[in-house]
Amino acid sequence: MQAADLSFHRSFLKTMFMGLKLGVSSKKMSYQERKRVIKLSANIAMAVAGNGMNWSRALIIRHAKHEKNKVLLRSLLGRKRYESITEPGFPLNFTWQRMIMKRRFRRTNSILRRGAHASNGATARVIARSMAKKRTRTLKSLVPGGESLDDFSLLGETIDYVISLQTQVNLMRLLTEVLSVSNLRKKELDKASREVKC
Amino acid sequence: MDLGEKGKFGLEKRTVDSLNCNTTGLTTTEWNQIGSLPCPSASMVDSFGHVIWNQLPANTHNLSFSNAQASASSSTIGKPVPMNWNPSDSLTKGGMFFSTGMGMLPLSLSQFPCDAGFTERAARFSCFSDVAYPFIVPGGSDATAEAQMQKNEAGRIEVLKGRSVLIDQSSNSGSPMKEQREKGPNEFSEPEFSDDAREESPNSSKGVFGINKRKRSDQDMESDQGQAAAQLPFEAAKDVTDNMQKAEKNSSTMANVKPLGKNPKESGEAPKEDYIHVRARRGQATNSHSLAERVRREKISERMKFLQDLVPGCSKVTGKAVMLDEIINYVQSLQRQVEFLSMKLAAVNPSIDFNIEGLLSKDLFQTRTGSSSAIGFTPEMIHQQLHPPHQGLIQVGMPGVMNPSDVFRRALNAQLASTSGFKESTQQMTNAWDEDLHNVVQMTYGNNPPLKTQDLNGAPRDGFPL
Repeated sequence: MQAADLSFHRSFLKTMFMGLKLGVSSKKMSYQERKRVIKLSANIAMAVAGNGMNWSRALIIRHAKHEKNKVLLRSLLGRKRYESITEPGFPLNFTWQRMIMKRRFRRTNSILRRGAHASNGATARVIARSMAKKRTRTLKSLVPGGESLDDFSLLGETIDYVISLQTQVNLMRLLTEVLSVSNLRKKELDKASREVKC
Repeated sequence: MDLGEKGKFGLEKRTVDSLNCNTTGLTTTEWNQIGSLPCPSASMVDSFGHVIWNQLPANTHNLSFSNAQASASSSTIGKPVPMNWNPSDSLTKGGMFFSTGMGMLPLSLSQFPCDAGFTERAARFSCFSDVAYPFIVPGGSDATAEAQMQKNEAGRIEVLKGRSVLIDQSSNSGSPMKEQREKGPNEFSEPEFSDDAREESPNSSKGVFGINKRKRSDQDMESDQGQAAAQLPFEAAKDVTDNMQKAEKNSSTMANVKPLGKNPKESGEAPKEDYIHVRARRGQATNSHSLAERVRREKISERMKFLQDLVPGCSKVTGKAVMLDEIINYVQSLQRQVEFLSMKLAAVNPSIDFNIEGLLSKDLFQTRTGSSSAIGFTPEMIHQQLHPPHQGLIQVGMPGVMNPSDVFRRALNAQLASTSGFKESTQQMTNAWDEDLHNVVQMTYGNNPPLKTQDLNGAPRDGFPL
């Protein structure tokens, strides 16, 4: 396969570095804070790189809700994008809540109905279906933005999300390796220079 | 393809011209074997004409296909015979029936006014009752059946419903007829429910027609001759239709649909159309709901298969629930890994000068590596590359060479080189980067004496075998 598509990687690294640079002020940050910023940068980088997918936008929205992240997000995403994503006029909440209500209503109804038939004894198919449904629900909670998706698109989103997660993990791992090695080098360098001085 | 057009554009196209094309397409056998038939439904009759109407009585000569009658006795079904009926003959032989009332003479095929009034007129002629009537009914039933079958193709329903009966008939007969003609002889006796779209749809349509024909013909048989003549073909049709009952079950939504090459059993997307053609499988219900469900299930299973490849260790897993379980576990583990790596990064971080990172990113984006599989970094690769240089450097005593951009680039290059074998290019890149690294080193390690730049140039070749 020629010319592999490295655009995802590039975009991810770009945003990641930008986030690290902006977010991590080397002096006064606690470990926890640094970790949080790094994780945020990584997630935003992944979302920006995986642009155009439903989970990408949902992930950004999820992070944008916290107050602490707003500054960093605004600088990372650029003003336009940040504004467009966090605009309050979007009726997403409405439809989302309505859907949740509907789903709960339907679920209780079906449970009631099934209770009426429970005397039949649950067939294998019913059991299998409920198992699959249960797991679909957990998957929906895992994949950002998956709540309002139907089965089919949910699977598509998970595919994309899994691929991006894998890439994110790989790149972050590489980054840690590189940085740790360079850290070592730097330490040795300092040590050597100190020795030279002495 | 004609069929596609007919299938898609419905009535508008199925006016005169389409019928013209249709019938001309049919030409050969069917016309000739139709014998005496009313004009617009002739194409309709074609579909089962050669099964049923081989022995049409002589008093149905009024039809225009006088020439066809001559060869009507021939029982060869699929034998191509040049169409040689012509308007003049029809007129002389009493085509006046048609010409007077309806103007429906197939003077030229371009004059097929398929209006509903024709049915009434045709019904008037008792000699045609056994001929005309059955055509009408199957058309009607077929329209509804098709409307049902094609519900999953929303765009078509309106088209279907808007059709008049006759045009349905003709169109239906047209499309299967065309396919049938291409099929060759004796397809009825051995209906093969293979993957060939053309075989199935004509069979199915014929099955439909034949069944309805049987029902109707019993009721409407007025002439004994017609009856006698019709019974034989009906029995023949019965056998055929018994075989075709199954075909009907398998009949697809594609009776009016452009066959998608040779793979009708798979649902594929026609390039120009935005709905999916589906063909029911053998022994499965052709209910539109079940068809749509089947399409949906197939799509979902396709994606599950893809996920199986993604998630490691899932090749043996079967079943939706278990697979979903694995997927969930994998996603959770990936998210945990991200968390863990961010922790690690946070631990490493404070000592890193982020100017380097900026330059690193710049370098990364500037170098275009061309071919490689993805940057599939593995820690092992990195370790291999880093640790020997590490030792080499310590021996050299100037570890300043190793800075993150170098390491990163080398890791990248190593990975890429291993996959693509572009060692020379990586060497070149190495050299190119060295020049950048001059600035880097001088900026960041500002205290370093210029001597180190020498080592910078030298060390990569010595200590970093790529």
